[in-house]
Amino acid sequence: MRYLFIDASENLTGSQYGDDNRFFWRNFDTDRNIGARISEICDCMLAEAGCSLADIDLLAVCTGPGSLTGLRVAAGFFRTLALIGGKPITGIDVFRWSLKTLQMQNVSGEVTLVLPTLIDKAFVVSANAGDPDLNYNQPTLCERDSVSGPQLLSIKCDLPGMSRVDPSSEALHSLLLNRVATSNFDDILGVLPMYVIPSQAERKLEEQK
Amino acid sequence: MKPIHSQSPEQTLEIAGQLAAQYPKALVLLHGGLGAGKTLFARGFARGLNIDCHVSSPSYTLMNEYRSGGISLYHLDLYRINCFEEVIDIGLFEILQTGNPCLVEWAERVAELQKLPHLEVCIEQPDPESELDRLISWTWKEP
Amino acid sequence: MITIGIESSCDDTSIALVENGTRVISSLVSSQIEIHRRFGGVVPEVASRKHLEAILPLLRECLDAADVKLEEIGQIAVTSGPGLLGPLLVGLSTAKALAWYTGKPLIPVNHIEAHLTASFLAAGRAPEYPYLGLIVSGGHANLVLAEGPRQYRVLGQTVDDAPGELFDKVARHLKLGYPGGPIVQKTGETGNNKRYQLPRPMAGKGYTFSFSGLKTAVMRIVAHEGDNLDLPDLCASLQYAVSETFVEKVGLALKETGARRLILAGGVAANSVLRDSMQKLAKRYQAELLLPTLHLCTDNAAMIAAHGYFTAHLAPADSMLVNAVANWEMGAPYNF
Repeated sequence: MRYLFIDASENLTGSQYGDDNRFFWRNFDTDRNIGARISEICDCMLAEAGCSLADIDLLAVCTGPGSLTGLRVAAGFFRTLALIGGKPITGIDVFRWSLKTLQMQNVSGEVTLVLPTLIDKAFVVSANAGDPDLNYNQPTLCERDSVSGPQLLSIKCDLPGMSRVDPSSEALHSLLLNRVATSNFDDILGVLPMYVIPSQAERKLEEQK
Repeated sequence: MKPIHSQSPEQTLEIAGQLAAQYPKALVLLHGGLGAGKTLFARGFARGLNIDCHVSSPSYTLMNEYRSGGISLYHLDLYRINCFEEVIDIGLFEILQTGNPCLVEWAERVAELQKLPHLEVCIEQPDPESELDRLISWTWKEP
Repeated sequence: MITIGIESSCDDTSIALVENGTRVISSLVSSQIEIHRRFGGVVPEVASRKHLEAILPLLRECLDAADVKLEEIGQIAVTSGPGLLGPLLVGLSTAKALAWYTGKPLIPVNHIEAHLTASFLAAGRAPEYPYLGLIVSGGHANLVLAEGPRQYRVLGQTVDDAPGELFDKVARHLKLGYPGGPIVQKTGETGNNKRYQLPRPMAGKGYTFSFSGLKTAVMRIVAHEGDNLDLPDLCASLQYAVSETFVEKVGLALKETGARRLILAGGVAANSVLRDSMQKLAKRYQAELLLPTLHLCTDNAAMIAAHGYFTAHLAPADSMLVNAVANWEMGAPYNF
């Protein structure tokens, strides 16, 4: 089983190829130009993997949260490939990926994951690191300074009073090898960037209820 | 500060150019009513940074990027923006992280921007009968 | 040769299939398909979210409606600018995936240029040169002399607002709704266009346009008239001022360039006052006038496919590296 994964949630784009024998991660220096380089990145990864798109069994994208520009380019590109190539596609978000990483590091118990975002805010997620299903609650957006909870962990950065977790290649590999995904139209449509701030439409719908 | 009285578009361009030289990497929040001349100011600012590009109103594009000689100047118009999430949508915060100068028209649509260090520029038309006269003032704000 | 066109530069996503640049096989716009089932209809949001959600259903439906298979598509044309960066990137990444997968060429298309080609497409014709083109839309007012594919001599542009933007802002100020153009037209239908004296900005000053003076003039009238304001008259007078500005400058261009083919294009080309005055002007100069049909005035992918077809030979070999550019000027080099 071969997969190709792309993470465009930050200025630096990352990509991972994996199969039953190996996996490798590569960084690509894309400063606001992932739109230009997306196909080139895929070409590089496949060349290094020594295979073509036809050999890939699973397409995967990081669904964020993060830079919506990058997330959309990656999702747009891979979703279209899934549709026209009849390939299964799946989305992995940063929280699930971080939880898996913590599990593989033998962290247990209640954890509070913190992902800083614009200005002075952060996304906060509560979960149990021992949960095999990697469940977590709906992320909340709050002031960075006022985050509290058991086992505070900042994702991909250092925040005062918190330990740090960097989502790992190994965790990603494990998640993707065991992923069940389909190429059904509705499932492809379901792979979307994570919008932790609800859209106006969703808010209006809530008001109407 | 005491507002500067500009009696012509050329003067406004000159003032904007001088400000650009003083604040070449700033986030600039431009305040002024319809027709005050915010886009004209943007033109002058670009000139002050030696950016040789056609500066146009970003009312429809929401965000224009003028690139010249290795620098990028971003020019936004938030008039059509209804809420904070749309500003996230257009990637404003990623742009601000790059350290490039950024001019924002109708910045009052997004209150959160006030929390960032910025140059606040106000362009007023003091006399509705006088088409050309403007009063331009500015302050650096670091909350 | 079938060209697929993908357009997502502003509010609507659109995908179309065009044969040989002149025959529209199918053309769909996102407002036509039911994507926001949860919300019971299309949600008017300027957000890239909508484009990402709409584009795959549109793609599938467009191919199904045309009964065209992916293998039959010869090339992929996509708007890479100007427009809103987020939406542009949705269309661009989708188009790149199509091109990458099929191995067929990707043709970056300039949205404003494509508006001009739309008027030829409406007549089922290939573009013929030279022609004088007037593009009037939300964000643009360009008067150009087109001398060849992607070769434009820009005669005049607006130094501030574009007419579409002017109508939007006026309509907003008068609390008439959005988009302003159609509302201002409808309201003005019963009005007296000579009632309010509005300036002719840049009159007698060559080809340059300026419309923000009209905006401030309208606001002054509104403030002055108060309850006596006659909306139909104001809307009629406003459209009259705008179309007279175009009549003056397009007339000047017809005289000075000697061009005898006039193309009206862009969203505001749907405005009946403007269409009428251009028709009269063309007749006066014995010039051929090409107008787009309503569907082809507004943003659509059919014009993207057609323009892509006629400019394919100009697209660079490494077009897969093209990026979206929010302010890509007409005739300007492809951006990488």
